[in-house]
Amino acid sequence: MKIKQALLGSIAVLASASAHGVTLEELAARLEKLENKVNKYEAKYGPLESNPASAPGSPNLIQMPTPIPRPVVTPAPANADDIDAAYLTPAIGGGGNWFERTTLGGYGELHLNQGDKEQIDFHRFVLFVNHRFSDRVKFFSELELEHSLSGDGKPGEVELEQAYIEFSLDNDWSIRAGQYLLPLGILNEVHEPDTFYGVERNSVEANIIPTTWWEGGVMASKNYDNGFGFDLAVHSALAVTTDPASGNAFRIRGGRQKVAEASSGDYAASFRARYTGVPGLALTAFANYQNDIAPDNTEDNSALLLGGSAVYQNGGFGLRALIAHWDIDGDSFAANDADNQWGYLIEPSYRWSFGDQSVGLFGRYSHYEYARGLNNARGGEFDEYTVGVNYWPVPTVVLKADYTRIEQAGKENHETYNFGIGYSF
Amino acid sequence: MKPIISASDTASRVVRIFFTIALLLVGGSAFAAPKVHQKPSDFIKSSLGAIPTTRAITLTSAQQRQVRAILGKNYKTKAIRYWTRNGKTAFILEETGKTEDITTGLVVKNGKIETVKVLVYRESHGWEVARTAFTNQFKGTSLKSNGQISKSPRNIAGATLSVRALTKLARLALFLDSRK
Repeated sequence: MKIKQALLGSIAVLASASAHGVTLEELAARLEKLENKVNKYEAKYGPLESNPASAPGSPNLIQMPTPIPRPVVTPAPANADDIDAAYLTPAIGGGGNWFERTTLGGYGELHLNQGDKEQIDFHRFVLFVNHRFSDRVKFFSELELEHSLSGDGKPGEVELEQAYIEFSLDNDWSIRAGQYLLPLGILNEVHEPDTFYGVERNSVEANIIPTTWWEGGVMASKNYDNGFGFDLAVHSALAVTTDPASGNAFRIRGGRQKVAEASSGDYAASFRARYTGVPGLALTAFANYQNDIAPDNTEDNSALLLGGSAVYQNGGFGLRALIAHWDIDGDSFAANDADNQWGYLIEPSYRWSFGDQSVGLFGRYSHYEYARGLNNARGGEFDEYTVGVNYWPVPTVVLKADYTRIEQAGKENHETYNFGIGYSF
Repeated sequence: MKPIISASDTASRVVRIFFTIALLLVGGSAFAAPKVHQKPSDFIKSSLGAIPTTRAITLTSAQQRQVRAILGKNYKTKAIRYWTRNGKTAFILEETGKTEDITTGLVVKNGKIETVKVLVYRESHGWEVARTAFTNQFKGTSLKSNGQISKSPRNIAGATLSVRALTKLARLALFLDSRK
């Protein structure tokens, strides 16, 4: 009798608990435990007495109705205007206070290189600060600390990679004005470490395009519903040196002024056409024109970059391919075998997912040629082979390892084992 | 290759020209609000045939934990609205792409996604997720025992964050449908 009362009492407590956040699963588990105890008791001492006074008509513990947590049903007016207001009003009004209109983000990557290059380096630590002035006018920025330590004689730099205002216009047009990443290649605009394979960014984009490349100016973008879109930008220019004593002569990458008290005397323009009409496929064709890529001499050094990229994903299979080619006018570039600088890469990969975790294998072949005529420009003709693995414990954190072999005609091969950890948020 | 513009043309002059051309191109249109692909009420009407009574699921703390496992954070509201008619349930859910919320309509029937439609897109990148060719990939997907959807959509290069946001919303809609 006492046991029966105790059991019923327990059920009453459980029922009460269910109304205070205990789940159906937890409740069921507790009832099952009680049932097992009762069964054992009855097997040992015989059937329990019923207690009609305390539990009329419901002597069976299992059949006792279990309070099931049901959703709270809140009848509300089914009015179209009310529904639309709930989702559209904050957007149209540009709602939210200052903190809600401001977002923070960032990414970073630590690299360890072993082999012909032995180094550990927190290569990039980046913070994004964005602010929505209104639904039509937004600010975006990206501030980066490279190589951990900046200052005189230190290896790193503090860089403002992006700071621009974007205006959203009718008919899927937008315009940005300020300092922004140019719409060229695969990695130049999107390079969070969890979005690409390999510890280091690929050498074709780094040396030919040259990634990461930002300029000051304006850019207009247009998207079409059929998956096409384009970007057209007019911006500040490269200033490649032709002075052999500089150690960087004729090297495109060395011409980035980074909008740091840069010369505004020459201009450049970029164009990109995009197609993303088929799920998993992204194609681009891009161009950059420099009115005078080397302002330190009196020649006509106008230059044109043409390139294209393809990114494809189907299930775990992925494929990336890119080609980029500079054609540069001027006798000095021709005399130093630097009038055509170009490269391409192809990178197949496969990624397996296990819940939120995933692991991917990749291989990449790159060929690139730049500033071939001068040893002190670190240029030449290269074939590069990379194989490696990425492991994502969560989608935006990645551990990487790869082996890279660089072959240069007439010179020793370079082999490195690279390890990295990266994140974005 | 000769320079297109003479040396006397400075970058600032070119920028001024560019601004003028850009404004002409857009036809002098006023700045626009975020792109509304379909009004939420129209989505419910077209998906369910009418607008039924608005209901709401108030998440228990245990359910909040499960939602956190899906989104990586709490859902922005504790009570989530839904509309049910003829065995179908429509949700209108929001998740951040990179910096802005993507308002998305989802219809679930018999534990499977029937429709995903981006209703309001506010991000400057990743607009491709609003295309039908992308959202159709969610049709027929269900929730696996590990909380993932039965078929992941193909990624879009440059729109990874928006793809992730919509995938999370598909998982969330299926989870909520199983709890309503």
